[in-house]
Amino acid sequence: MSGVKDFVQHYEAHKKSVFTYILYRVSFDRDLAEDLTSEIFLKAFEYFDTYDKNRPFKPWIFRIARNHFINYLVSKKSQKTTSLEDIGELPHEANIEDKTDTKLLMERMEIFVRELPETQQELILLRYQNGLSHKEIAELVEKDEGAVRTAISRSLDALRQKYYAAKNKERIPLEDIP
Amino acid sequence: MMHNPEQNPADIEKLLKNLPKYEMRKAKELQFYAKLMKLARQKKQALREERYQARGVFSSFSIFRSFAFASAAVIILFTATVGFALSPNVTEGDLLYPVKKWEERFELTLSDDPAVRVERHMRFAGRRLSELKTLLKDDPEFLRQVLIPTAKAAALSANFNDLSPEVQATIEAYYDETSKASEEASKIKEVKKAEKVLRIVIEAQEKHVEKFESMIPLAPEKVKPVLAEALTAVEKHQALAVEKKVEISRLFKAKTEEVVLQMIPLREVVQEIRAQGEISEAKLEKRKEIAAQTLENAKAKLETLKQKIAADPGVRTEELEAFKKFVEEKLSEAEEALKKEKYGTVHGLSNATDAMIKKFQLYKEFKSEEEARKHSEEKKRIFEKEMTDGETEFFKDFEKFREKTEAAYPYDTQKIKPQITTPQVTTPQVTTKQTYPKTGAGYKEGFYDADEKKRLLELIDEKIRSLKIEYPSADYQHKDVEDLRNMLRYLEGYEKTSGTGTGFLEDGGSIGSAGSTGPGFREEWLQADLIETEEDFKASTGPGF
Repeated sequence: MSGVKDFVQHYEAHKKSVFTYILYRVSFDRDLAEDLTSEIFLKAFEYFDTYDKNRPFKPWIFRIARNHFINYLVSKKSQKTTSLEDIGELPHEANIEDKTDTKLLMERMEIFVRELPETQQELILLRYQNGLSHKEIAELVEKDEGAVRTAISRSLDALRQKYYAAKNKERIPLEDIP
Repeated sequence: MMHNPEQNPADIEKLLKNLPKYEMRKAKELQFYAKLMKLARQKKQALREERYQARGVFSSFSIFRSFAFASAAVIILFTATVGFALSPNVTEGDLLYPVKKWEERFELTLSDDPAVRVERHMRFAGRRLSELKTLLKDDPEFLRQVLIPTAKAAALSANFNDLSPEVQATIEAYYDETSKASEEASKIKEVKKAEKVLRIVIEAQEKHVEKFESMIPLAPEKVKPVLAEALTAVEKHQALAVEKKVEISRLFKAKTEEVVLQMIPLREVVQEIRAQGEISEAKLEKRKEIAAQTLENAKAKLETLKQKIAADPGVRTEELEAFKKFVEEKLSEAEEALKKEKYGTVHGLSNATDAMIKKFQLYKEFKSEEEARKHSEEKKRIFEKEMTDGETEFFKDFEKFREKTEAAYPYDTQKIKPQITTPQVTTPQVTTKQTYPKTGAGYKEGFYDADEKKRLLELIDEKIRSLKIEYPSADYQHKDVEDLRNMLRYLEGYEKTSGTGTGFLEDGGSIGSAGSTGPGFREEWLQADLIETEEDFKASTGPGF
C-alpha cells in the first residue's frame, strides 16, 4: 500500500491553497507561513490513516491547518502577547509582473481582504479562494451554517463598500476583470 | 454549494475567487519532502514491527508464498543469528567484524536495483559512523585525555596517519560505502528513479551530518580535524545532491524521462578539500618562477639606473650614490628571500626597487622632493576625478541592470539581492606625508594604473550590456550575477592593493600589510591561472607569506 504516494498527490494539489491561507493569517510572514505549512502537512501525514478516502480532502486538511494555526497562536501568546488583529502596516509583496488594471484591482482586493477582521477574513478566504461550501466551513469553524452564511454576506458587504469607494475615486473599468 | 447572487454581487465574488495564490519556495519544499520521507520510513518501520509481533515469525506459512517473502525470511533468520554481530559495538578489529561485513555483502547480493543498492550502501555508511563513535569512545587515548589534560595538547599536532588503524580503516570504509552508493546511483537512467534515489541519499547524508556533529565535540583532539574534514565533505556532497535533485525535479516537470545521473563520489570531494588546503607542487614551482622573473626585472632596472648615473652625474650625486647602494642592498635581500622561498618578500623588494628607480627619474625631473610631491598630488587629483566620474556612470548602469533582473525574477533576486552590494565609490587612501619618502614613486608613476582600472570597468560594463540582451533563464542569471560579483570584488581588491605603490617601509611595509606591498602577484598569477581558490587570491597580495 502506498499511503505516501496518495498523500504526496494530495499535498501537491493543496499545498498552494494551504500556504496562501496561512500566509494571510500570519500577515504575510513568508518564512513563518512556510514553516507552518510544512508542519501542517507533516501532521496530516501522521494522521493520514484516519482520513476517510470517500470524503473530499480539502475540508480535512483545512481542519488540520486551522487547528495547527490556533495551536501556534496559543503557544505564541504564552511567549508574547501580540494579536493578529493589530497587524498595523501591511507588508508589501512586490511580485506582480506588469500592473494592468485588472492586476491593480486584484491587488487592491487583496489588501482589502487583508484588512478585514480576522474571523471575517478567514471565512472569505475559505469560501472564495478555496471554494469550500458553507456547510464545510460551518463544520470547520464549529459554527451554525446560517451564522456562517450571514457573516460571509456581511463581510462581502464591507468589501463591496470599500471597493466601490476606491473605484469611484480612480475609475478603473470593472469589465477588465477576468 | 454556489453563492447566492442576490446577496453577493458577482463582481466582488469574481475578484475574490481569483485572488492570487502563493507558492512556497523550492528549498523549503525540499526540506518538507525530506522530513516527510523520514516520517514515512518511521511509520513503515513501526507498522512492520507491529505486524511482525502480531504474527510471530513462524506462525504463518504464507510467508513462503513468494520469493520476496522467502528472501525476507532468510534475512530475518540470518539477522537473528548474527544479530549481535551487527551492533555498533562490533567494530573494526573485533572478532565478529567479518561476520558483519559478510552480512552486508550478502544483503547487497539480494538486489540488482541500483536504487535499493544505493539505499543499502548509504545505510552501511551510517553504520560505519556508529562504529566510529564506538571506537572513539573506547579509545584509551580519549580516556587519557580526559584524565590527563596535558595529553590533549600533545595530541593536537597529530595528523591523520597517527590515528589508530581501526579508526582510520573505519573512516576509509565510510568513504568506500558512500562512494559505492554514488557509483550505483550513476547507473540510474530514469528521471523518476533518480529523484527517488537522490532523496534517499540526501536523507542519509542528513543523518551522517548529525552523527559527525555529535561525534566531533567528544572526539579526541587528533581525530577532530579528520572528522571535521569529513563533515565538510559530506555537507558539500549533500549540497551537490540537492542541486542535482532540483535539476531533476525540473526535468520531471518537463516530462523528460531519461537522465544521466552523474554523482561525484564523496572521496573526490574530500580530495578536493584537501587539495585546497595544500598548494600543489606545480603551483609552487610556478610561483617561484614568477618571483624569480620579477627579481630579474628589478636587477635589469638597477643596471639601467647605474648606467644613467654614470652617464648623467646630475645634481645630487651623493644622494644618488647612497640611493643606488640602498637599492643594491635591497636587491640582495630579495635574492636571499628567493632562496628561502619567501616570494612575497621577493616581490615586495623587487617592486620597491622598481619604484625607487622611478623616483630617481623624478629627482632628475623635479630637482626636489617637494616639487615631485606637488606633481604627484596633481596627478592623483586628476586620476581620482576621472575614476569617480567613470564609476558613477558604471554604477548607474549596474543599478538599471539590477532593477531589470528584479522585475524579471522577483523571488530569486530577493535571495540574491543582499549579495550584490554596490561597492562604494571610494578613492584609495594614501597618506602622502607618511609614505612618500619611504615608498618611492608610490602613486606617482603608474601605480594608480588608470588604464588598468578603466579596462576592468569596461569589462564589467560589457558584461552587463551582454546580460541585458539575453535573459534566458533564472539559472543563467544566477551564474552571471556571481561572475559580476567576482569581478566587482576583483575591482575592489585592485583598488585596495594597487594604490600605495611599493616600498621599504620598515614597519613591515614591503612584506607586511597589503597597503604598502603594492599590487602583489595578483595580475601575474591571474595570467598564469594560479588563482583558483580564495586562499590563492589572498596569497597573491603579498602578505600571505
